[in-house]
Amino acid sequence: MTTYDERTAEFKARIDAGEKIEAGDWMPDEYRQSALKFIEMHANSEVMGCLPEREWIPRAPSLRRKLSLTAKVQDEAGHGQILYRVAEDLGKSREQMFDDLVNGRTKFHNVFHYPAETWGDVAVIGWLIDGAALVTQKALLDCSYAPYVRAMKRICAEESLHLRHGEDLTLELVSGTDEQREMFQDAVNRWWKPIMHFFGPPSKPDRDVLLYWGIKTRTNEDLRQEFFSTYVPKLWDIGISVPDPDLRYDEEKGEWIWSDPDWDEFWQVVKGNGPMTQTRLFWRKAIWDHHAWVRETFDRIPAAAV
Amino acid sequence: MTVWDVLQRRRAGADWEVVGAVKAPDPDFAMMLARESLFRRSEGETYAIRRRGTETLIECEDTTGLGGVIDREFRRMDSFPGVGGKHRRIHEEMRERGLVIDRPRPPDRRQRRSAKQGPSGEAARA
Amino acid sequence: MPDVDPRLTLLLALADDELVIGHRHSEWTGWAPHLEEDLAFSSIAQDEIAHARVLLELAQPLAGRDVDELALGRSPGEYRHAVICERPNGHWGYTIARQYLYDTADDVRLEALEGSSDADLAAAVRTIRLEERYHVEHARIWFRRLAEGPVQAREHLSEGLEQAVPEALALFEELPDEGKLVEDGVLPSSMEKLLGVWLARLGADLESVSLDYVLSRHKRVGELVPTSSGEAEEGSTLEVPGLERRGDRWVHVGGFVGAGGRRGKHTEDFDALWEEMTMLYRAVPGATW
Repeated sequence: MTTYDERTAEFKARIDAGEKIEAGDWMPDEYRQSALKFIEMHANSEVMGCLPEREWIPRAPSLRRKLSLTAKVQDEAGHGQILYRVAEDLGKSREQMFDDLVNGRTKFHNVFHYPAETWGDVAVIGWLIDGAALVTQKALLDCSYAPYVRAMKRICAEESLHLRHGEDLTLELVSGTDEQREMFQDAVNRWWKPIMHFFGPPSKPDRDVLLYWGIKTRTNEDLRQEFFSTYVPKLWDIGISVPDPDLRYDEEKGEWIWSDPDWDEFWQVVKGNGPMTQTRLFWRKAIWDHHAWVRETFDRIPAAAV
Repeated sequence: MTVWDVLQRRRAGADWEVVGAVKAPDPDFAMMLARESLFRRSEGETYAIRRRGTETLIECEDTTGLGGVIDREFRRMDSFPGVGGKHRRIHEEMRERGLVIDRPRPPDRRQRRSAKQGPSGEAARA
Repeated sequence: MPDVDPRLTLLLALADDELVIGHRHSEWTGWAPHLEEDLAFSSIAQDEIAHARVLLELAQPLAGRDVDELALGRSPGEYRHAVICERPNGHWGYTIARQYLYDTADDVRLEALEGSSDADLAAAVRTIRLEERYHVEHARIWFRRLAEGPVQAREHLSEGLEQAVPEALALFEELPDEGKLVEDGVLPSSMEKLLGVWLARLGADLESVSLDYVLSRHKRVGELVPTSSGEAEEGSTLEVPGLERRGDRWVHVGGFVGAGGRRGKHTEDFDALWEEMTMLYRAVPGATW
């Protein structure tokens, strides 16, 4: 009879050998809890990520963009739907996850705590934020938890479409009037720090529980470097600067040098004190609470049901 | 609330495969919600739902209009096909206007590859 | 507007209904009460906006303005939608009631327009109908579940219907130059006749779930102006403005609540909507986005 520790060691060996875990497999508590928390936060981030952009649907400056943006936000809600389903199979109900989110008990990614002030922000969110997300999401395609990998395949495919939409918006602004160019540059200036924060502080790989269990497969710093390599040259090529005077690629070291951003702001946002955190949670909670009757209606089995 | 597994048939004659699940109060709702949750882009030829824990498949009866009839270029996965070319054109414009930001960046991947290969194009010895 | 092609008014009425209600529907995207429903409702919103685009493309040569100019560049008094489309979403009960009323009404007029003597319009309508049937299906599924659901669900639906029905009738308000449109067969049937068809279906639907009382709640048009709060004056008999029960039928009598939409007369709700919908388009003239 194997002990819990022995089973856990076997499990870890399977992961290290590159085997994937399915929803019905035995798993150590720490694995289940880590995976659940990680996927729940990802799902939360998708639904909270709808909020900055959805404000611009009513104000979109052409029908084509109105349709594109609506479809994009719809996709993000859809990603939330997919991810909550994956998380539910790890043992927590969607209703409980939503309730925890709107009541501030669980977290969502820092970038969605900031306002979308102009159409320039819509372009930055669509291109650079989604770009940052895609870098991290592609890394998750190697995750040890198979249901999450399957979800990520679909999500990454849709995110690539969003990226092209965002880049298209960007290129239109950058090649437009002076006012439009400035609008985009101004948005980049305001969003740069949250994007740097998005990848998280440089982590200690040997202490990273998520890396241990193969839920994350790359370090924060690795992902940030990939983001720089993918997007900074493209920004510079269209004459858009980044508000970090030190940012440059060091060929000798083979890496980007960048200024350490203010991590105090990051920790404030993590605690729920971002510029838009309370406002957005307030509205989400108001809608959630006011529509308990819809959930109750859905939970009731009508008399005539099969 | 009931969970309904959602299945698709990628092509006519292919097997059913599970593609996700929706939460819905009854089969009608589940069919409707499954269509918009997992088939907005007509990802497969047709779809079906199955109440979690049962074997009975309820198939979509009429696939006309699945994924929309009017061109949804704003939703298609192949939308914005020319965006790379557009970027290059605007880069050219910016270069002419002297606006390109010239700061240290990683060598161009193509340059690195040809540097490895040598002028004759042969692969460098390991 | 002197000498306006009657077809233009028809096209704008149809397009503006779709655009404005699509705009309202799209405001639920990202935070609707049920996650899968968020996706379904967003598809409906996108459909309506896409339909508006199709219809505005037909209007383009008649108006001499391009699609975005028409959608986002007109002054508020130039929009021809029915007032019900501009009302804010409120809570989900009103939203569903309005979606049900709008799409069942739209179904009736599209059914007729498939036979339009204008071949381009008839073809566009045929395509639009293939998608609109999903809207009617969505509305019926929600209608049934709420009407047959727990007390709270039924109450939310009936309150939404009471609020929306009076203004929904004006979807069938007579169009400017309608006579010419009917004569030419561009509009195969008068709006008044179409209203009759819709009322028969609506009455039957509501009766089947014992909600037909929502058709007999408020004041007669012409006696007192109904306030937006829906308050009733003391002592008056309550009827939905413009609706009368005659035998086993509901018929339209007299005017319309929220009349004037087809002539560009809208409420302060549209002022706010128009401001938000058009502000960026108008802010940088000549810009492409």
